[in-house]
Amino acid sequence: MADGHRVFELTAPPDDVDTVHRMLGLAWPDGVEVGALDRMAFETALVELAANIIHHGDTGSGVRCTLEFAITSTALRATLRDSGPEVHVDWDAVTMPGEEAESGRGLALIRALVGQAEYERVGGTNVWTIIRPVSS
Amino acid sequence: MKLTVEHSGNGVAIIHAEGKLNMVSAAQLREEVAATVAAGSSRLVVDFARVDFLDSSGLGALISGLKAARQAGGDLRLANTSDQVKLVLQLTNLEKVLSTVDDASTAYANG
Repeated sequence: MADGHRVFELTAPPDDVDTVHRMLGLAWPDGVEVGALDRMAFETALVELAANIIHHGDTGSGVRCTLEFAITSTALRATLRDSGPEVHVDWDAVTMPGEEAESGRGLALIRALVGQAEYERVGGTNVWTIIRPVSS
Repeated sequence: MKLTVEHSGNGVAIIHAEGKLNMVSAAQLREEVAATVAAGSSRLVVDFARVDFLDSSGLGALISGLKAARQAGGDLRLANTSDQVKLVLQLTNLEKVLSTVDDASTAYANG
């Protein structure tokens, strides 16, 4: 597919975050060269987001998620659409928990890794978008 | 994730991890650390030389292990961390509490 556009689908279970890592390996278009930090930050944010969906989106009958990547030499973008219940996310209010916490860092880490993180509920689907502009 | 525990004396145990420390493998590391502390080794090093990815679930397991080790009078330190692991530690403000050493075998050489 041209212009760095790739779409994958997962159903968890049986898929899990290891599936997401495998998808990431296939999502990167040939010829797109970005700095190691940009790629690392984007991929970490993507796995965090997918893990969050897999963890919270499955209310007993599994969760389906479509992962759409638009990766170019100027911006790394992913949109995830999942079948989980509606969630309430206030990105501006997300804070990093203290050092003793054993959970709750996912959304704060995503925010720290990408320039833009969005959530909206569209017709019964959760739509998450993360964008990391590529450093020039 | 593959975990191998190496006991190096003086209550020091090096846990060599291999793979991705994420939501899938976090519970496994948590249990391995708990078992190692319960068996009498509270000065732990988790060797990240063959770990190519860490996420917040993995961090949770490391913090759990750190607390268990400290409760037993020890500590939990990291060795051979990759740039990705360093980035995650830095952004979550955990780079001081989960201290990183260059060489797992000398992580407790100075106490």
